[in-house]
Amino acid sequence: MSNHASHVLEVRFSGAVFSLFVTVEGQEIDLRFDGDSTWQRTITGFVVTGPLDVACLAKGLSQTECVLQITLDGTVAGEFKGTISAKGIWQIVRSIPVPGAERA
Amino acid sequence: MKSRQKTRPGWLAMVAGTIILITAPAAAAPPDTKTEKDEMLWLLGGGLRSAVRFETADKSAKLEILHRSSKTKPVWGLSLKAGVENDLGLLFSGGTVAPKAEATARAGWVNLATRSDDSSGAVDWFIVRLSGTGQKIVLYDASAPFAKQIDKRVFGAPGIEIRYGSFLGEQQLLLSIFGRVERDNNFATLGEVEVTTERSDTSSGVTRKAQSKVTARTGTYLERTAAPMGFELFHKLPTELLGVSLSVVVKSMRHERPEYHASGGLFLLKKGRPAQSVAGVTVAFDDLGRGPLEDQFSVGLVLNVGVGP
Repeated sequence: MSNHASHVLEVRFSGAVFSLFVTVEGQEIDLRFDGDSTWQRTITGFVVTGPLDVACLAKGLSQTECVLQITLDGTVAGEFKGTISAKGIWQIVRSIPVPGAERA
Repeated sequence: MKSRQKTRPGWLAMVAGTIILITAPAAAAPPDTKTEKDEMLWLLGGGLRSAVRFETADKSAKLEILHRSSKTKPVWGLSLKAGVENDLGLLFSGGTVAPKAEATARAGWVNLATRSDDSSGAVDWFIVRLSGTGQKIVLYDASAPFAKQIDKRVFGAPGIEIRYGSFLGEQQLLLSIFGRVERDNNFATLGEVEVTTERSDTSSGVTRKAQSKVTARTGTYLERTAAPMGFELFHKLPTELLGVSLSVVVKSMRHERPEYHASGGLFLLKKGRPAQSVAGVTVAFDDLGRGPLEDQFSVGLVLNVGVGP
C-alpha cells in the first residue's frame, strides 16, 4: 500500500446495541444494519495517509458483546472485542498501523 | 343446531420460536416484553431490508420492509401481518379460522434529545404508527331467531399511535410512554364456540345427515373508539443476566368504564446478547376491576428457542 493511495475500507460491527457511532480518520461511518445484529459499510476510494485512527462508541444493555472489525483492501487491519459496561457504553479509540502508509 | 363450548386449556404450548406455558386461568397471553428492545434495534437499522417473520405467539405471519437512507434521516417502515384469532385448540381440531390482517406504516426518529457521540449512555427515540386492521367477525347468538343466529361481518379499524422512548445506560433502563387512538372491539374476549348445523332428509325413509361447522364467538359484541395510553419499562440488572419488566396501560373508551391492564416479568437474558431473553416468568392483570381478581390474573412462562433478536 502506498502513501496517499486510495483503498477499499470495510467497517463491520457485531453486537445487539441500541446506538452506534464509528469514525475512521475522524470521518463518521454511516453503517448499515442487516436487521439482526451486524452493521457494515464498505467505502471505495478511501484515502489513507498514515495509521488509521478508529473510534467507536456503542450504547446498549450491559454485558452485550461487541466486535469491531476494520478491513483494508480485503485484509483485516484490526479487530477489537469488548463488552458494554454497567454504565451502558463500550468505547474504544485506537490507531491501526497501516504498512506502507505514513503520516503526510 | 348445537354448540360446543370451548374448554379453556390449563396450559397452552406453542413450539417453533416461542413456547408459552400458561399456568393459571389464562385470560390473555403473557405480554410481549421484547417490544421495546426490538423497537430500539429496529430504529438503529439502516438501508433497505425486508423480512418475513412467522410469529407463533399471536399465530401470525408478518412481512416487514424497513428503510433508512442515512443515519440522520428518519426510519420508515411498512408491515403487513396476517393471522388468526382462534384459540389454537379449536383451530387444530378442525374449526374454521377467524382471519385478521393488519397493515402498519411507521416512521421513527432517533436521538432527539441525545447524541450518538456522547458517552452518557442515553438514547431516545420517537415513533409514529398508522395502522389499519381488517378482521372477519363471526358471532353466534342462541337467543336470536334461527336464521339470524350466525352473524358474519368484516370489522375495519384504523388507528394511530405515538410513542416516545428512552434508554438510560447508567440505570440500564428502557422506558417508553405511548398514546393511541383506534377502533376496537371486544371480539377476542368473547367465548369461542363451534357451531354445528345438521340437515336431515327423511323423505325417502332413509335418514341422511349433512353437517357444517363454523367457529364463532358468543356474548355481547361491542365496537368502540378506544384510546389506550400507558408506559412500559425494562430494567436489566447491571451485573447479572436478569431483567425485569413492567407495563401499565389505561384504555379509555366512549360510554364505557376504562380498562386497566398491568403486567410484569422476570427474565433470564442471553449471555453476550442480553437484548434477547432466554426464558421468563410473567404475571398479568387483564382489565382490573372487571370481576373477581382471579379471573383477571394470569401467570406465564416464556421460553425463547434460538430465535432472535
